[in-house]
Amino acid sequence: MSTTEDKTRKVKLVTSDNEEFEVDWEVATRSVLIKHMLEDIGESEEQAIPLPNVTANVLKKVLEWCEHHRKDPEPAPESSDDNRKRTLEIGDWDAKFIQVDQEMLFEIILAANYLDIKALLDVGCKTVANMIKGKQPEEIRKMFNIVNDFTPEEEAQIKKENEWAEDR
Amino acid sequence: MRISNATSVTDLPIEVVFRIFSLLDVYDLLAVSSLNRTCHAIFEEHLQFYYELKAAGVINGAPLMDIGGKLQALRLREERWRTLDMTRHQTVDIPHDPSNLYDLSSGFYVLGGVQGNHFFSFIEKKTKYLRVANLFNYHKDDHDDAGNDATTELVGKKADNGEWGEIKANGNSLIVDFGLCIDEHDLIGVVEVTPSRGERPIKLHLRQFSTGEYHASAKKPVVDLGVSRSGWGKMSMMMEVVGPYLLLLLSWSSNEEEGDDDKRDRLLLIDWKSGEKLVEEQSRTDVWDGVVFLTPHIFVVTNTARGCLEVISILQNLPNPSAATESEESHSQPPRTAFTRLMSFTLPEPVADFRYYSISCRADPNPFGIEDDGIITPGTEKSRRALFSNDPEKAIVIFRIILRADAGFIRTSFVVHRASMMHHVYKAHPWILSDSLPPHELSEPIKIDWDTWGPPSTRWVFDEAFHTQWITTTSGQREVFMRGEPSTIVVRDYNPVAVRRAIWEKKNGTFDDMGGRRAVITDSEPLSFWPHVFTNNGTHALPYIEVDSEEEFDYDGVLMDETHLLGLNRSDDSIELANFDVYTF
Repeated sequence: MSTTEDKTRKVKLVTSDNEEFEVDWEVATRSVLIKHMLEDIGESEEQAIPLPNVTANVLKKVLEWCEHHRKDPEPAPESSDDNRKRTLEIGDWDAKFIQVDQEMLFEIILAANYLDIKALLDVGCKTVANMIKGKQPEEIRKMFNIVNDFTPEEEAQIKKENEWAEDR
Repeated sequence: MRISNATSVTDLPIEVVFRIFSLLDVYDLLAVSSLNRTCHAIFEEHLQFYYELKAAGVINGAPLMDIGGKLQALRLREERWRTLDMTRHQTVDIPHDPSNLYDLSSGFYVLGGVQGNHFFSFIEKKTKYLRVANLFNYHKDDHDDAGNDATTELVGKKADNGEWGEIKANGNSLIVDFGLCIDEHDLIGVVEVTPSRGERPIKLHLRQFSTGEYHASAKKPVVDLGVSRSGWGKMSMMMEVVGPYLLLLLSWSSNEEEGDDDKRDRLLLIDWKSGEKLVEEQSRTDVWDGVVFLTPHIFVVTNTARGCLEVISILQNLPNPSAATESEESHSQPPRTAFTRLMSFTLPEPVADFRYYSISCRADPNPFGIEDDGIITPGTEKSRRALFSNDPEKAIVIFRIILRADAGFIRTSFVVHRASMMHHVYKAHPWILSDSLPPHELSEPIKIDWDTWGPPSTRWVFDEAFHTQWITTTSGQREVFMRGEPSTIVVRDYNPVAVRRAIWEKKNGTFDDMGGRRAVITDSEPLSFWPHVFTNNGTHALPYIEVDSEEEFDYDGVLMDETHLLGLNRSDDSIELANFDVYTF
């Protein structure tokens, strides 16, 4: 599909809060979901693509990322069993881009997951993983508002199992 | 429909939570498993296998069975190593007249061969061919059948004698040495020299390991490496392949003639796919002895003359200096690749009588190369045969050192984790982490004294009785050697997670010492031999778990890869290797 004509083509996207975005084909198709939808619609249509799971403020941010990464090569298909070491390193531009409040961070992750933008999803997941890294369970709960719903017995059991790994 | 505000990790879809958690390492995984019931359930159902992989310091391999089966196989293998269970073994005869060239990697034992019987062959063995034994053929058990199906293919052309594969030297050339990159590229690089009176051409042949044919991905399968000269003494070579890089150290025995200041040793970086030389450095012959990759872009070269380990970064895509000032034409010049010296890790200072004579090194496995898009190159289909493989980032590096004094030689060796060397590199050069170029021209490498980096993160062995002529004695975080007279086989495990657990077990009286055969060593006392050789403080604090074999052995050497131990036997009437025992774990 990626002919030269495609590059000049514009794509209309409509968010859940009914805002319309017009972007280059090359930018919009960073999203595998949008790419597939465009393929389904066919080239002649001028139809807007509805994105009922994404709000305007999140899509704006996501498109900023897509714009910056418009020339990136297509990501290789992931093998389901592939657990080769992934590093937690994030490129300079992406690191700056993802410096947002926690709510926006999770919204970006959700949008990247829904829109099927693997590289952006990776940036988000790595950011969260980096936030968790090196912290005690109580600190992690506090950071993400996670309620400890274990019974005292369960908690004691888990603590016992993990005792060897605690800091001495 | 609109997705409700997610404000917590646990509000994310399960596949995303899994994605995040699978990026975490051992202790962080344990922490998230104890956050709440949801996280605990995710851990138990989906992350147990990844957790145990990480705790064992291994990465997932070929999708030959389901996760449950793999978890069982992993636990079984770890248990066999933990207890040094040597019950699964077989004796294999070496059907040819072996030379001194060998390697053991990814389940393949490669051994050079001499043609015909030469009276003087014990002085200088001239390797005419390489023979390959597939060690996965030497054990049968339920768990490995799945693995074996994928591996039954023979390597190279089948030799006349039994199961061994063979790769021959071209024409009247001799094989000087070879390098393997089986898991990533199914590649063997063979360096050959054509004998002649004057100049001897050196050629690198890039072959597919599984077939012995020239490698399909190598545009120029035969790379010209210049010449060797008869007066230069013995030539030796070390080769490592990571991603597109083939790093080659060519060296000759020392500049012995007076006034011979030739810089004839060469450190070469070759893009093996294109056959282009990217970087070349030259040196006197008494400087470099070994190279080992720390990351896909950073390697160590040992510097025997200065008694240090130089950490060098391969910088890619540098603008070509001429391109900035010159005309249009030079703009078409491709970007430059260069070596940048980042660090110099000083080794301990020998006492007055001694000096460093040679410093060789090795780490197994090698890192996998990273492609431009950041995706780690998957292994070739054929090579992805192991269920899991040791994580290169967590592996130890072994440095084998020979010191020389008037009275003779002293041999010693130490191990250090790749990660602890990289820790110092990242601290001194944080720009590497963000994958950017150095902030300014790096003038001098940052020197780090032995006393700063060595004592907390290394472990030494001195005893002459431990030494073997072989260097393939580590794999992942394990090391093997023989000890005592008569000898037991000793396997040390430097995995910090296993060590931490063992220390805790010891404190709680639950440590399994296998009737005195197994111990966790945390002391850092200098070895008694140390002050006779080095001036520095000799504490060495890298902790480990050690297990001794139950039986005694009289092997002439032991080697290991991640699933095998090899006990080598020489024949009764000569120094040739006659056979070996394969132990499968």
